[in-house]
Amino acid sequence: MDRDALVSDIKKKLVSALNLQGMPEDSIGSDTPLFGDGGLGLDSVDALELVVMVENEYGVSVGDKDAASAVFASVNALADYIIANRK
Amino acid sequence: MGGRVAWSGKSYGGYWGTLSFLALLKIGLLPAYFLLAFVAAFFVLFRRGAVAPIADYLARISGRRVRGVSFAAYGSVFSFGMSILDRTAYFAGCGSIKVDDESFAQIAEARAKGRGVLILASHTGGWAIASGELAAKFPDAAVVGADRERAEIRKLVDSSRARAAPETLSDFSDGFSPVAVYAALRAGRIVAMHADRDAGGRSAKARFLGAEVRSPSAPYACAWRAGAEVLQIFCFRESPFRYRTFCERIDLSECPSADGAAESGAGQFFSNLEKFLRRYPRQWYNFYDFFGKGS
Repeated sequence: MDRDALVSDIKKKLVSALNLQGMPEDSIGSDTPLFGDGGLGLDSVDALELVVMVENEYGVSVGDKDAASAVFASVNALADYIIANRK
Repeated sequence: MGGRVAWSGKSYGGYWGTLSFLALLKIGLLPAYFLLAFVAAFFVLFRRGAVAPIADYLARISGRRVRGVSFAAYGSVFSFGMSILDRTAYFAGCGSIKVDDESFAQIAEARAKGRGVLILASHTGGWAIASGELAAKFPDAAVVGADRERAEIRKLVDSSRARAAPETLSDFSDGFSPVAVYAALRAGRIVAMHADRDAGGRSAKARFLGAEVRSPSAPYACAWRAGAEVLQIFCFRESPFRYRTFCERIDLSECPSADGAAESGAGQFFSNLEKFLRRYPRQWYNFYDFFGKGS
């Protein structure tokens, strides 16, 4: 899977994993902040669901909470992390 | 229930008050209890804003009207003061605080299943003493919690510490604490935290003392996702200087989702809490507008 396909796949799985009904995956900007104001406004339970989704779907662990804030900064940041860490 | 309830996390006692009690503890707990009798009376008589939530709780647990200035409220405040003094004495290694354990065998049993163990506690009785016992028996156990106490008081109390407290895994300073909790539980660790206070994030509703209250969703979601055992631990004072721990299992095995686990877990948590508070009604220490009447 090339990077563009991965970014698209992440958006699709993010909508599904977080039950973001009514939010088309195309409407999620690749650099839109996932957490905090001005972004998707996800919360701490969503962070957990993202960790599980990334583990299950891409085989990549995010066990460090300090790393998580950078990894989940945006879809692009998450794609970079998956590419760098998948086996 | 009214709106969401705020909690500042800071104690009512000041620096000099804390210092006075620490000095008295060097003599023993009884002189400190003696001074506490007057401090508790002052608190009930002159800190009406802080006593009103105590009266509200006491009315709910007793089913009777309770005035702010009353022996019942005084008993609660005195009990709270005792718990602080006992905790300080316990961690300083002075005094003669004893703990009868009825929960740690269950923790060991849960851990033997090879999964992580999430321990949920509440601001009741000697919860801090229970954390010290946990650290002594399970050195790799970690706690999650925010220490919002004033720095000078925290430093003062820490300076008297002779007994280890558990490692703090995360302090809720950002939204990623569940990531650390989930990773620890997946690694088979014991993680302990309070679940009785709604800190403002995603929460699940439950019934408690006739009111609708909320418990944070994240602990239950972490445990459910990690396949961890969930135990609710209580530590109550049975008599002066003597505490007893109790354990109740919270079963999330039938829950279909993380949100479902939070709803079910919160319901079981507050049901257990109410059951024990009816036995130890004065050992409830959420002295703020917990039920949201002032919101």
